[in-house]
Amino acid sequence: MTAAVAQRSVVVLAHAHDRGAVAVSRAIADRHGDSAVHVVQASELGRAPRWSHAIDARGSVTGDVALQSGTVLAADGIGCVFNRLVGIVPPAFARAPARERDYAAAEMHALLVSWLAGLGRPVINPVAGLFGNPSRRQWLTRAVAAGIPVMRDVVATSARLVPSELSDHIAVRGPWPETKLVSRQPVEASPAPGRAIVAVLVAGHRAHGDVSRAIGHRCVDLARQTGRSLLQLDFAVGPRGVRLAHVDPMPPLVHEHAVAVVADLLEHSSVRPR
Amino acid sequence: MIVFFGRPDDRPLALAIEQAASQGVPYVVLDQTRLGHDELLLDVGPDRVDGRLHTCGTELELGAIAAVYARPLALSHTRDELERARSEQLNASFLEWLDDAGCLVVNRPRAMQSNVSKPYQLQLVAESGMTVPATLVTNRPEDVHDFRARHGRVIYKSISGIRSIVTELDERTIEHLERIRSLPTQFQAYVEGVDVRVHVVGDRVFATEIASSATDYRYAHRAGEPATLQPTELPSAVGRRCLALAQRLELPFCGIDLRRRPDGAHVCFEVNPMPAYSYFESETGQPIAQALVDLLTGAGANVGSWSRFATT
Repeated sequence: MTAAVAQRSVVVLAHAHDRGAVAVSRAIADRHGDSAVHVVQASELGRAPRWSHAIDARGSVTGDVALQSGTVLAADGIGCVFNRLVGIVPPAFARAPARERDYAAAEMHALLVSWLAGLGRPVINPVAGLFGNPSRRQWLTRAVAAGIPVMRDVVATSARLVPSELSDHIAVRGPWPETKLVSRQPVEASPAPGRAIVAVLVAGHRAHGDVSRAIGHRCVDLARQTGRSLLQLDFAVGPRGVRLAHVDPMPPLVHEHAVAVVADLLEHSSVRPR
Repeated sequence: MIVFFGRPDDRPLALAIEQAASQGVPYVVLDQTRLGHDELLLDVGPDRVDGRLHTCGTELELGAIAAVYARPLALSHTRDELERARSEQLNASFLEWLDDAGCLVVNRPRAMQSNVSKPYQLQLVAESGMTVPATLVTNRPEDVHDFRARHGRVIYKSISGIRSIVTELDERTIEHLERIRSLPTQFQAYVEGVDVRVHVVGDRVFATEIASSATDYRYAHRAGEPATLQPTELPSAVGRRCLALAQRLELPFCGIDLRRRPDGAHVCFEVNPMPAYSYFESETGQPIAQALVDLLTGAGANVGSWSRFATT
């Protein structure tokens, strides 16, 4: 990318410490050259000298973002976006009082959401993901609806409500957790998943991982039903088969295969010039 | 059984509760001011989701709840640490459950998220066929000057869902425009005309015309400028678009802010997913609370189409 983007590239929005995002970017650059991918850090967006995001009376969106480096991010030059950001605090507000900093962060977040939605390009994961990640319990609930067996997870306002078979797994979530006054204390109860974990990475319409085809299909269904094209599902392996323990829509991408799968997904998702 | 969730001192919730009581509808109130006295169990897995709620001396299986009207507000502060912890956990867990509950929820917490970003919501509004005000979000004063030159009168307001008073960019405020370089700001072309608040309740539409000379009628009283409200009829095409918009946003109940221009066209500013309808009902007599309770009890004509969202 130069003063204006010459070809459509994959834009990776990531925090500086995000090694998975960097690895995916390198994989794309290795395949197609440096100009095929552009990594933009949260701080660059936060201090961009030009944000121009316009919506006309019919909802058509125009505008661009000019970074301090001279790079201009505009829809014409973007094939797809790999978004790993959950928020931006404008550097000018980094040392502001908490209330002003929170306001600035909320405003930048709202702009990021609208800008991504208005690009008219695939965003992985989708803009809706920026409205907050579902809790573990919500993911498990949605997995149950998709026919995926899950690990038991209970939350209760009193320990006495927890089914007896889970009594060994109760963790106090209220004040004074070190005490034994648990009768009216809010608690959670969820067996630990153990060491044997199988990770399934859903990328687009495919599930990658060592689980049955039926479970793999249901993982893809879960991703589709929740509007995600990238999802990592960690299954605990036990005597009764696999049970879903954890879901991550922003997987760390530490393994070479996962990096390659995500690079493939971004390539296939990318909108090409006509 | 219907559950009303929120604070009973919140007038819109109170009005709906009064309506349910007057209709003899079975209900319980999950009172956010005393959640520390209630009990909730949410049990997920391995292949089912269930739980129990105990409130107002009534124990309910979560699966037996037919509908919920949720107006979650901030929890009250209490010095009792245990009560606070219990309240916070019940509040958070119940909100989690509402997102995926198999019953009708008015409205689901995740569906309320679109107005976290006003320009994003504006894009969704336009997708429903509504005209929206020309909008610019920028951190460059020169772009704002160009925008103002193109549109004449311009207002500014927050980009996020944080409430702000809509203010006109005038000769006084424009002197401070350099400040936007540190934080992009949202500007909109001023739209001449008459404000119309539309409440969509299921498949029913209530339109209220607001006569006020204030830029933001919600704050007209602060400037000593009274706002006068009266029921009005929408052109059928506009009414249909309002219904389509509510469906698009998955909001069985919402407040849509329109302005009718002098040429008769309607422009949509935003959609409120938790409308304070009681003000409009008390000023106009429009039976919004009754329509809401009808929706919750299944007496509304298109409850089925809203219940669909329970499985999405």
